[in-house]
Amino acid sequence: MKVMLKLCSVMLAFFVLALPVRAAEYVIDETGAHASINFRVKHLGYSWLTGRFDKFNGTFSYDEAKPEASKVEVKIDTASVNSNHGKRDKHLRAGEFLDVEMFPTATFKSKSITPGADDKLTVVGDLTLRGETKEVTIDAMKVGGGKDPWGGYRTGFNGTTRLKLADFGITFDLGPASTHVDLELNIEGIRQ
Amino acid sequence: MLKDTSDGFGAISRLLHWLLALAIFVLFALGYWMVTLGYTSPYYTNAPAWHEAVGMVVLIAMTLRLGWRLSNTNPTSDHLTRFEHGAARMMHGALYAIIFAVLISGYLISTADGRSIELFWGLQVPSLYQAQGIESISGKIHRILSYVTIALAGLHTGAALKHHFIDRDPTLTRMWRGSRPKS
Repeated sequence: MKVMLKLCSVMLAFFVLALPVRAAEYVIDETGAHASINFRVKHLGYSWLTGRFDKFNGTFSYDEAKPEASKVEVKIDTASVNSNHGKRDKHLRAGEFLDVEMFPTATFKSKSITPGADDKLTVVGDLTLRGETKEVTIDAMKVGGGKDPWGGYRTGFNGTTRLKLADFGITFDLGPASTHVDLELNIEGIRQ
Repeated sequence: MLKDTSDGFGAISRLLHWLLALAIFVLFALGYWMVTLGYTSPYYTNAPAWHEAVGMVVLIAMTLRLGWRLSNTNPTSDHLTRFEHGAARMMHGALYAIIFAVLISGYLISTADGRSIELFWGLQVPSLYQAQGIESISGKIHRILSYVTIALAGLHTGAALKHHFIDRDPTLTRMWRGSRPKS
């Protein structure tokens, strides 16, 4: 009986000690849409065409004291591509571009996160798009974090990366100025 | 005679029939070709614009034609067997239904994002229904049913030629010349 009690108190002590050590788990705020996945491609080399993915979800862990232990994972509904032009979006969903029937989900999973100066972070991870998995590097920075006015705790990041369309099997010829797409990620997470 | 009679089709029905047959065939060929165009083709933006404008004119003409058909006497079909009469009715019903479905799905591809379709001389067909993603589903319906339309039109043509050359009955002449030849 005494042994059992001792064991219980040791376990309780372990949980009390363990809780603050555990990195904060965040869920990306898609419900309130304080997150966006935007892209831009040069149009003929004359301007930037921008669009976004309306539906995605993800989680990340982030501990200010140990940013290198952070992890992020995001799933994107490729059919939710939105460039504010129905006929173009139809084409982007089709086989020549995102092929959303074959590949309805794109995923990003971080492999390593390296902190730099001024809240900067270099996020290396695997991006799976259109069935192709490639390692990409996202130049990110922490924008801010803290208590929100509604009893929660939030942390947010911004990141950019550039993808070569052909790396993901997208070979439809948009002209020599339009072989790459820039991604801009705005990620605000609510700590669980 | 402008109106249809129990003897044959009037000028308006015949004109609409043959112009629509031509326009639908042209739309199919134009559509088939335009989706193969590369991004740098000079026709990449023009060909779909023509396709849309002609399609909307066809939608208006099909509506007029259906209204005209419903408000006119239908020519009698006493030269047909019961089976032929039933098959013809089914074919005509299917052609109307599927052509309307192709036209409406095509309209939705171009207007689901709220944009209008540009007709000629500055006229526009406005967007009546907007929903994100509808353009992709409509595109699939549009493609499949346009092939179905051409297949049905082929059967319809084959049947008309069979009546004309094998049965030697007035099925085709009453759509071409109007009233049946007096025997």
